Amino acid sequence: MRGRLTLAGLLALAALVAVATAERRLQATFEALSHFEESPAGTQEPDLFDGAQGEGAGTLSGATARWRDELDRSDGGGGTPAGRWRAVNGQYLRQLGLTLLLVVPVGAALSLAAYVLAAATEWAEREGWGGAARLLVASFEAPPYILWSIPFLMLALWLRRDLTWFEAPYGVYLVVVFLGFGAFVVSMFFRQCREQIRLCRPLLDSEALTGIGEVRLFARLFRLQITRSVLPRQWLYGAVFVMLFDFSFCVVDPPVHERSMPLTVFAQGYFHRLQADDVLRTYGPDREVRAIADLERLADCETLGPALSQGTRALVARPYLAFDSRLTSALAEELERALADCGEETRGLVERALVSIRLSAVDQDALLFGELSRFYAWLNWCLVFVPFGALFVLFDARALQDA
Amino acid sequence: MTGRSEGRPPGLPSRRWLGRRGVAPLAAAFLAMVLAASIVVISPDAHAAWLWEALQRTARSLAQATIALVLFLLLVGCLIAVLKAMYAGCGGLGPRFGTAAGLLLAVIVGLNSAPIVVYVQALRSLERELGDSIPAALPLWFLHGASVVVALLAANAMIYYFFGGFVSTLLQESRKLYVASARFKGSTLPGYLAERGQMYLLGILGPLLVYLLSFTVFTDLGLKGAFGADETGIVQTLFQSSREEGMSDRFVVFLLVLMSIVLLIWAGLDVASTALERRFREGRRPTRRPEKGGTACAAG
Repeated sequence: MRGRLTLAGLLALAALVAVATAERRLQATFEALSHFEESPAGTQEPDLFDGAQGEGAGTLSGATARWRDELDRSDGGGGTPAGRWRAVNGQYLRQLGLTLLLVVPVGAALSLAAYVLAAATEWAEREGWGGAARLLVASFEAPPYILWSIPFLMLALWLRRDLTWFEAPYGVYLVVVFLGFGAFVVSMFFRQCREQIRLCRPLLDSEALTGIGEVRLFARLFRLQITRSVLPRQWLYGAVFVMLFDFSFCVVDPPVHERSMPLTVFAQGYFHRLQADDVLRTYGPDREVRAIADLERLADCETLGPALSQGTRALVARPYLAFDSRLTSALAEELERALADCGEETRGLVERALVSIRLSAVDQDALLFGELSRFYAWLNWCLVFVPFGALFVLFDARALQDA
Repeated sequence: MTGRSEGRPPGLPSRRWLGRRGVAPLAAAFLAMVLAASIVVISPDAHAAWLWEALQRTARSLAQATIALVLFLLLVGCLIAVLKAMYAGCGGLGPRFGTAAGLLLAVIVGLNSAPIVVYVQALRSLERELGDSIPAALPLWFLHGASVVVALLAANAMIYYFFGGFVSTLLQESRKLYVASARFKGSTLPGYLAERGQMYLLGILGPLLVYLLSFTVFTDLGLKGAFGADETGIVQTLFQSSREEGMSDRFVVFLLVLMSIVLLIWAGLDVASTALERRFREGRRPTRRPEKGGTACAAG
């Protein structure tokens, strides 16, 4: 027991570290963005760039502002970085609720379907229809498991696209698709249930002698044996697997989710990544190149003297800061403070560096959506990892403990 | 029991190279291929080229899955070596071995919690970053192929499902009396469990191949554009076709060709497993340590 508790503690610690890191990064991003939001130059493209931010620049500029407005409205209009961070977490929790509402019943349905199939196979064998039982087994064992997902996907598309006279609720459509994802593991669950029933054959035979009907016989077996042995594990594994499938599809090409409908956490993560990719497509490397050149010029300037503190000089000496928007906000604060003390000849250099490290609207979009996409990716990994780890500790690690 | 099998111990597989279980997949494969050819001949919208295209796509996906399967078995071999080292280091089975093996499986749980596509994309970014530093001797298809294989190995919960099953099967077996008494019979626990482990691995070859073949849909989606649209595998083609055209002639022909090839593989695996099972049951005995002055016999 102590070994399993240690394992559970280690897995929980790993999940907590991942969540805390993601949350901390998101908070830092909101804080960095709020600094540039306060500065009027931050929302405009500096003249210095001659508008050269790549083709299509500006078409997405302002997406961050719209997003921030939405967040502020949902948080009650506080407009603070902490309020926005709370709003993103609130949104994640609502979407998590929807995701769990979909995958938990689907996991149970998969396990139940596997047992019904296994019971039907056993019943067919007991009735002397061995050929039919073997055909049923082969039809699940032989084809690549993913092919079982295709009929469900077709049904979902038919419900959504072709069945025009009946407006199926979006939730029904998602459940059908998730059942299709889970159909992949039904073959494996089916095999486990068959093995479990095979182990219980002497029990079944003795019960059958009492004259109980076949349906009641298998229902009793389900209640007394299956619900205690394989069902909880299969339920959890089914839910984990459906989430992994949705996660996989939502990284490359979600076949089902529509942006205007309530989204699962995986789909929301995909749409944030899509937003980040769209912004990055319009994003030229000019800002970084110019910022590095200006920071290097500032670092080489010997007359800058006491205007810059030791800490600021250390920051200026690291031109790669231009690639880390969170650190550039700290540097911008330092340079603004130094601007009052420096001499006339160096003022121009400091101002130029200040302008070139400042985030434009496109920069802010890239930073925000990139960070949101990473935040969702880490939390989604945890969402799969936690039940998967629980499955391992609760069911599979028992064998290790008894070793 | 037939006359030919009289005198054979119960449970021993038949001497025929292809058991009754193997004939059914062969017949079904033949039927599926005939059906596919019939659709191509009868349907006015179908083209004969579809058959060749389906065969090519199936071969491509199967080649990827087979290489991944071989690498998976090598990986399992490495993990078994790690387990053996743990067993020796912990002085046999016990709480220390359980915790060490648990940690190994916990790491696998962590790795398998990320979806397969994350691995595909990470490998593609690495490939882009390496760029010119990749030796010219390595052709592009090799790099893409390596990405596919590595991603398939890390496929959704796959290593955990099969390797975790392997470990728990062996641990269950180790509690059986004939294994637990190994040291009193001049043998070792790993020696007694080796045969059970080999039988387990043999048993999962088919499901494993089908599992890997299924997951080629994600590697094809993740590497979209790297190989070109004409070079996607059969499963991704079926998925795309079902989404765009529904139950079209092309979809059915592709599905039947895939099924016929997969059924042929099942028949082949059945032949291999029957032959190996016979070999194990007839000829193999648990490995014995060299006896020292007959002490093992005395203990037995």
